[in-house]
Amino acid sequence: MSVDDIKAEKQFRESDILPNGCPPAEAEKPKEGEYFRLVDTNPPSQQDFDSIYKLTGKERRNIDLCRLSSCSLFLGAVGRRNMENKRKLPKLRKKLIIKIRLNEEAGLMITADSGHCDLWMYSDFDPVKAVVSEEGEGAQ
Amino acid sequence: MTRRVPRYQATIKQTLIFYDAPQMLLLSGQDDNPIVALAVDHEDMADPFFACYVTKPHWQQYLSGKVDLRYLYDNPMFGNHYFFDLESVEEDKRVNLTKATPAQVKDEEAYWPGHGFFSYNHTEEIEGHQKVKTNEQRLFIDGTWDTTEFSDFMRSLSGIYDIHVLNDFIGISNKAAEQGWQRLKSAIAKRRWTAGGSYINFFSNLLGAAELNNQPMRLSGIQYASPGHLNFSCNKATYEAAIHTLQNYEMTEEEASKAFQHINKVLDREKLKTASPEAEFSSDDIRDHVQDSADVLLRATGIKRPDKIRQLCDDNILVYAKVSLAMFRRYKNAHAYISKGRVQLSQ
Repeated sequence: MSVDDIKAEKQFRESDILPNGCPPAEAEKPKEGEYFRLVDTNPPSQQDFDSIYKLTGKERRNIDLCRLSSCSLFLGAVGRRNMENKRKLPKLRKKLIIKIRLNEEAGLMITADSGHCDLWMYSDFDPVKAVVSEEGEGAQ
Repeated sequence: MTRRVPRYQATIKQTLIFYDAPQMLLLSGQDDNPIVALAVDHEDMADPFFACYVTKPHWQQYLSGKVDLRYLYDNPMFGNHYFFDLESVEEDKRVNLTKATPAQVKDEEAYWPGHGFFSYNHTEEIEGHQKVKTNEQRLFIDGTWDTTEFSDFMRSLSGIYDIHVLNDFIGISNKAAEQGWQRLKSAIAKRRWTAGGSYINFFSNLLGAAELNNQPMRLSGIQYASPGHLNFSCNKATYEAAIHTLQNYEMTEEEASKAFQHINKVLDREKLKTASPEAEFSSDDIRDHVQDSADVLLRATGIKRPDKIRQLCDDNILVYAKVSLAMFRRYKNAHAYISKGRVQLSQ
């Protein structure tokens, strides 16, 4: 099933702000498994999974709006270490690491070689319920 | 005539780390020097970034994982740090840099990266930076090894590997190679050549200065037993060329050893071993003989075009001879471990 077919059938969490052609044609269903994300609150809230574009309502010149409408995650076994390293950056320093379990029903995703994933969630997927563990509770 | 870009103006090249939004950017500033920038919070700007110029050698070291991001901020080119507002970026991706005050620079918690963040943590690949897939290679070792011997052998082997990176490079001819060629020439010209020894790390430093070290040889594992092995990651083709030359060492050893002794003897006699590049041989005949011997040494080390190495040395035969000695020493040293049965190139 193509991304266009999926878009005709499914609502995305950020449908009201997604630009045309977003998610891109190369986006795929997530592989079932554990992913890591940095969040602001413990326990995580719905807002912790909102895209920057949704949170700020601000477009950025020269930055792909589709990507700004996604939710960043890191994949699998190296994800935790990847998250620890990202917390060495000023804006991410105070964030908390959580582990979340995704399946094919979570949305559409692009995964880079680096393990970074851009996820466009379906509106009927609840990321808060999919959280497996929070910082200090075995998110490792 | 193109106008020189002012130091306070930079052009965004690409995102290096994307996490919900760009967290780290690469920019290009005055004289195409790289600038790294991190997303921060800063009350006077809508979308602030904290940036610093990076010297080209430091940038290469960062890309090859030799230094972390913190090191780049600790050692900024021009000694300054800057802010810019991504919100004010122009259509042509230009931004204006504002010099950070000393008090701002001191605020490490707010603006600085932590220690231990390396380029492999980037989420995005660097455009134009050829990321060649590395291969795991293995050499077999036997006998008793001191820790200093491991490093001595690895230093020689990685020097030989670097010589073959150089060998591959001098066969390329395009615009990018021309820039690399000039950087190599300039790196050789900057050396004083007065140490008179093996010039440790010379070849890796040379490749770093010429931005040719995107796939250095790295030790990735040691199993110390009798027999044991050394694992390292590197470019397979370059490694195989280096090993092939080492395997053929004995075929060229006699002629090369004579050439090696000849150059050493002449440099000693003429008191040129620790002399700077401006020093001259006592006669043209002696100089020409040294050049011939240096050609022999370079061919023995697998260099296909000794004339190209000579050009890199600006046709200075004293420097050319010292480079050839430094190259051959690495072979001589590495081969000593093989001839003693302590290293086997294959099992």
